[in-house]
Amino acid sequence: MVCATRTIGLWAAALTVPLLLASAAFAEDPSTDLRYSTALKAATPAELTGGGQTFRGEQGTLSLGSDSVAIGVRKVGANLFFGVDADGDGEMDRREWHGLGKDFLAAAEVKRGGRKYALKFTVLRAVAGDAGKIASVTYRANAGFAYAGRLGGTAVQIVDDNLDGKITQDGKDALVVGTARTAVPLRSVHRIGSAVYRLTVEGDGSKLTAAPLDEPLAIVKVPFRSKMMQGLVIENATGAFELTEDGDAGIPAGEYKLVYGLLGGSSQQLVLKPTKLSTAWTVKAGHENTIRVGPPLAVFFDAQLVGSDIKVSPMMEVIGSGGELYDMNFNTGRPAILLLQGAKTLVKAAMGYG
Amino acid sequence: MTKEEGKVQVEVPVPLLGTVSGIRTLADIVARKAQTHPSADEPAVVSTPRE
Repeated sequence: MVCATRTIGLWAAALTVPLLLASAAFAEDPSTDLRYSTALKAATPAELTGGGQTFRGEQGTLSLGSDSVAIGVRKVGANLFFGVDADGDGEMDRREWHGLGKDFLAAAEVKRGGRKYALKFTVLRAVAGDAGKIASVTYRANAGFAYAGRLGGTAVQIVDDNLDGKITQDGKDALVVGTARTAVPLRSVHRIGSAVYRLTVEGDGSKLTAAPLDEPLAIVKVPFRSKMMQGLVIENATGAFELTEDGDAGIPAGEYKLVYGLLGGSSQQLVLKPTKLSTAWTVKAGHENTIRVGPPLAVFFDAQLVGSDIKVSPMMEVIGSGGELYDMNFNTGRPAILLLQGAKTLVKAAMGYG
Repeated sequence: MTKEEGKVQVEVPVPLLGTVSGIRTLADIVARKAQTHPSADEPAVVSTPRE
């Protein structure tokens, strides 16, 4: 009898250990502390779809929440320099001026009110004035920092994408999950690793809490070659998802709209942006949903018949099947114009002036 | 050629995606009719139940 009792006791011990391990794995860190990081690599919605700001003369002011930062642009010889009052002493001293290269980018880490902001500046346009001075500057400022942590083994980065000094979950700030190349607007519901969560992020970016969301999911397919697509981000009022990562794993059912997309590699990129023609996509749980986006693409152009001439405006847009715009900030070569009668080409000419 | 049978096509070389074209009839151009995408009438989502 003694022997049998010992045997039962050993079996009970052997069963207890794996059950405890399984329980710990299921709990999967419901929260994570976040820390300031300058390792932000992903593109963000504000960076790829935001507009520029303009100041007149050689000096302007950037608002960072309740703080302001003096910035400036100077031309010395053939070179442009971007100045940032990083230390907040009211002046831009010699080490606070940064040479702008061919990409017209400058970076600086600004300190205000005990907080740090690593910023990226892009000069979009600088207009020359009299005597070698700058008359006006249009620039864009973007976050080069994030509040980073790990949730259930997956890296997360929260980005103050609108640079207002606080984190909000209304789609104006952003979230990077894992090694994604594109950030999604920060809302409540997101996929992180193998699960979909309802997130709560502290306004100062110090902590993220996640509650698993248990509901049937919709698989979403995108008709692009996977190698070409770096990211396609969609959202609704409650959640935002990057479909190259989340589409096959599943997202909550509902109606979504395009935030932005990114195609290509490091040398050539196309940014997809929503337009007034953009489609809303309603995806169903328990279904595989192929959304209408991408090919076939069409050139949208304006033309006028003037006498016997056809004049085509050079302001043309490339629009995808979901109504998305393919934004091309580079020379694409000269368009060709064809005059057709039925299926027959009467004239084909390279587009020119006049 | 009449306006009804005449068309204008524009072709633009797009990096990564090849040459993209757009086409409008002369009649639509004269009438200043808004251009629509050739896929505009197709369903926005094709959903198939998963087994």
